[in-house]
Amino acid sequence: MEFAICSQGLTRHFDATHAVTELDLQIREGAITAFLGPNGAGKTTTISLLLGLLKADRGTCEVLGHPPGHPAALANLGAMVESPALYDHLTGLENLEITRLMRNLPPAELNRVLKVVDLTHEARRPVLTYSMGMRQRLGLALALMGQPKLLLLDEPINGLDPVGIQEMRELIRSLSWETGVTVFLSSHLLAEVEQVATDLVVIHRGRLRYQGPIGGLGNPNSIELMVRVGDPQKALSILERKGYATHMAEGRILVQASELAGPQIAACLVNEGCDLYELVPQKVNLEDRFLALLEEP
Amino acid sequence: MTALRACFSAERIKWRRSWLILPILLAPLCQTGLLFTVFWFSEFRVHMFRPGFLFWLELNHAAWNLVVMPVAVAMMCELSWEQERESRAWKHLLIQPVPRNIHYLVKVLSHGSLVLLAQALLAMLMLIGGFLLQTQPSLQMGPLPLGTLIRFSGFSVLSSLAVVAFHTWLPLRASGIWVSLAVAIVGSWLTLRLLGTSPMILALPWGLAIQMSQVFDRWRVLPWAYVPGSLLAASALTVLGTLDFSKHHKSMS
Repeated sequence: MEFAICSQGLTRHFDATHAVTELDLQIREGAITAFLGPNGAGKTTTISLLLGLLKADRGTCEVLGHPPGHPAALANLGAMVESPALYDHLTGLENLEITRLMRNLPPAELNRVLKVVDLTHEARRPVLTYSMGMRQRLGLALALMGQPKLLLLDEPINGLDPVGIQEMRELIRSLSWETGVTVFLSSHLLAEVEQVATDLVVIHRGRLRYQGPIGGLGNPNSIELMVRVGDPQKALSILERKGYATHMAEGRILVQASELAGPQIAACLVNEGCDLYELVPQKVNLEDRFLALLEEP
Repeated sequence: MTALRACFSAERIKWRRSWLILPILLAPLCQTGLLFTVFWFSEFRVHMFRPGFLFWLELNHAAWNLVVMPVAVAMMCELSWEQERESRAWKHLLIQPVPRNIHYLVKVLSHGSLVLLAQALLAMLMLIGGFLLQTQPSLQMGPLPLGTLIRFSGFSVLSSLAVVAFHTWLPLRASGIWVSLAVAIVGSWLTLRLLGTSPMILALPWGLAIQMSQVFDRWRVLPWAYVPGSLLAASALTVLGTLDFSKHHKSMS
């Protein structure tokens, strides 16, 4: 399998703050990978490291087969870091023209990207008059200049209204289908990206918590048992000893087992001296699983 | 070279409807406008400085090199960097497949071109103003000393290069329009005070520009021998600025 991004032990600290620690990433070519983590998890630092905007303290990284910041890698990637970099006093077209000249692209590229992001009619207006959604779309157009093989988008949905979010999702999905571009987009909310992403990378406090297909986080139609007990740590060790896959979320234990295993689990906990208050089958919620990943020590 | 040309073309787009053009247009306009008014209403007093047209050129070039050009360059350079900061453009510019030093060199080139534009405008306004002053017989302006105008303008262009190189670098380390203006005014004044004390003042960005204060001693010729030293200082400042820019953006958080 070919990877668009591959890192091993990627580490970056700012004085006492461990922004990114021992990050091993493998981003599949052609996939839409959501890069999730709460605010301050190290997402922007990681993207900056991948782009060569920051230098890693330790570890190795390859982006499209080259070290970060290598001109050959930069020529084949487009990125939007934090917020779109736009000159407000210029028109949308003039903003694109700056990038076109720097990338030495033909003038036809301007119309192509404007059409992709549906800004053709607003291109001659000053960016100052653009709405947040239009600014985000123009930022995406800048990233799309030169038909990149890899798109790195840092929170592209930030600040958009529900209609803007839907439009951005559709745009990212259609780009991936039509051009086969690898998309790596960061967000702090799973709900924002679960409809568009195929793969998922979860990061928390600079460390990798999950990497794999979005379905691997939990089948949306599967059932798990929620257990509420007096001593969760004791119950957790009992269930793990019995071979159940478990995780903690907000003081509750979630057991990956069918409804039929309920009586067995209840008996085993009570027999081992646990105070059992509640045992309820519930549908797997991806958001809960994501939050559970963040709670793990 | 191709990357430099492409990036310079891109940089020129940023000039459109930008504030940084304002000091470039206003500086020569305000200076010649003010001096023209003073000359126009000075009547016979200007006779003390005969021939009048030469004095008109000397005064304009002295004011330009000692005060107006350093201030205009400081404002223009600061506004240019502020434009990038305000647009949060650096992260986008630095991920373009262009060597990092090109970004800085393009800024130096852009600022140099704008100052050249201001100098051309100044020369044109001095000519127009001079011809208008000739219509006042009481001023006895005399003929246009074209050779002097060309020599003074050439000297002013060369003397502005070190100032441009310095003020292109300064906002990287100390941003803010008031900081730039204060440095320009204090630097120019200090260099004027040090004039004649040591040839080392040429290592200062205002070293050559300040030599223009001596044009009033008409038996002196312009100190062309100092030009290579000033150009060397400008080149050194550009190289240091380029290195600092690359280092600065590698370590940014």
